[in-house]
Amino acid sequence: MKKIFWFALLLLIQGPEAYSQDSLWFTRTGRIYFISHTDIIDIDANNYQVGSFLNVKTGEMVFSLLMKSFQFTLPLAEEHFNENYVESEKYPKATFKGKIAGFDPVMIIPDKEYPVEVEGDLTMHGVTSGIREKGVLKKTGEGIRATSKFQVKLDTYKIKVPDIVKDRVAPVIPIEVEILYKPYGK
Amino acid sequence: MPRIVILIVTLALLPLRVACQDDLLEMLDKEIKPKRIPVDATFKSTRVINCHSVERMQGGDLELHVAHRFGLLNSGFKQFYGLDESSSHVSLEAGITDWLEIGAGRATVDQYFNGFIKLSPIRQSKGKWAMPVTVSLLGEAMTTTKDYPDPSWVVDSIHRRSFCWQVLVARKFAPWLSLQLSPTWIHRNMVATPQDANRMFALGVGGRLKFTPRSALTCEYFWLKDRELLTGAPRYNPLTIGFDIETGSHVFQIFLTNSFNILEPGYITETTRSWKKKELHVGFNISRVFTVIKKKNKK
Repeated sequence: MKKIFWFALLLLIQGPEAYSQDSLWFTRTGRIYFISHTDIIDIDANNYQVGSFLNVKTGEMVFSLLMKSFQFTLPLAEEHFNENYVESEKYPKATFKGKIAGFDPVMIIPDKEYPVEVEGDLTMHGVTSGIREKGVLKKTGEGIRATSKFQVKLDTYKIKVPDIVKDRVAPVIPIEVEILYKPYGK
Repeated sequence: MPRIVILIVTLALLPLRVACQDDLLEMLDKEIKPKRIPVDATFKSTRVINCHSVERMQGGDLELHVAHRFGLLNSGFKQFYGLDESSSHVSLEAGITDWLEIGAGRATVDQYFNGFIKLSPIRQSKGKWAMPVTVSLLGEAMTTTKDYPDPSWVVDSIHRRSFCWQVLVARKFAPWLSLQLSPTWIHRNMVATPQDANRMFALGVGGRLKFTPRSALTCEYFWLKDRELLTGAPRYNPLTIGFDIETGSHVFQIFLTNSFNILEPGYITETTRSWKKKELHVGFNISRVFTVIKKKNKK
């Protein structure tokens, strides 16, 4: 009996095979959009090369993108973003590593929205900060669509805005995430 | 006893599981194919100081470039240290595509109109298909509207023209260090005497030390081959030391130089002042960028 207890504990700690091919869903063409809105100027950019894994058994999620892959409507803004604000050469990537809080795989039902809260660590500009944001998962014929809208404060990630352009760069940036996951390895 | 064995096995395997979790992010990095990442902003401005840099306006951007040189700094209080005298050049420069720029301007010294085309066939990049340098090619033509010294001269207007070709090769070694080599060929259709060469070669070197995200020290020097062959006042190689400040869509460059001319045939072949004799000018460039055509960006 005791043996069984310890084996059960062992299994519990080790967990199920976390990365079997079936449980992983993947994309390298996710989209992240952000906009800095001020009265003077709107600066916005899309990144269409967001990579992400979703583990549909454990609810784990990871994201990775290259800062340089953001495409701006204003070309000069792109240069300033990379050179002066996020310092892309020093910190080329932004990553997120976390999981869906209270994840229940059963909730992923075709054509039904599953509102989730994702928590984990967002790293950019060399700063890691814990976040917890709302999002929606929805399984469709195409795959699993994940969407989220949240905001980041530039201060949190030590992205400095000089006084001279304070009225042109918003201190809080709304972000939109749109991912279409496909089964990994297929 | 088995209890302890299982406990040890469990504990031994725990770090594995943690490592496994890290792997998901690592796995993702492996899945994302290495990309060609262009190296941007080798210089803040389209000029190192006097000399064109490898940078251009991107497609849809328009630059208003104002260059100004004051008179001699050692001209004393009467001339207010050079402030009374000035030489300037104003130009509009447009990015047609991300690798092609055209521009046109007017210089006060010798009353030149100039036009140029600058293209960047090679861009420094990292990752897949990495390139070590950015190469820009500059072709410039200018024509003077100045009166000839003797109004009785009947000279074909072709003699009013000068040309400049440059192969600008630059590398951003680090975010704080960029260097540029600028082989330059200058052709002047009319020169002072038959002994003066119409075509001359010069080699420029320039660099930038960026010490904060928005400011940098800059330096530029041109070595003019065969400058002793030029008649008239002795020529000197132009040396310029400056400071760049970027504020959003403006770039200010303020500097000390021994050249009063602003266009290439002028500052490269006509610099008659020397650092050794403390014949220096204070100069500044202001660059203002306007985005005329926004890039398409799918929402």
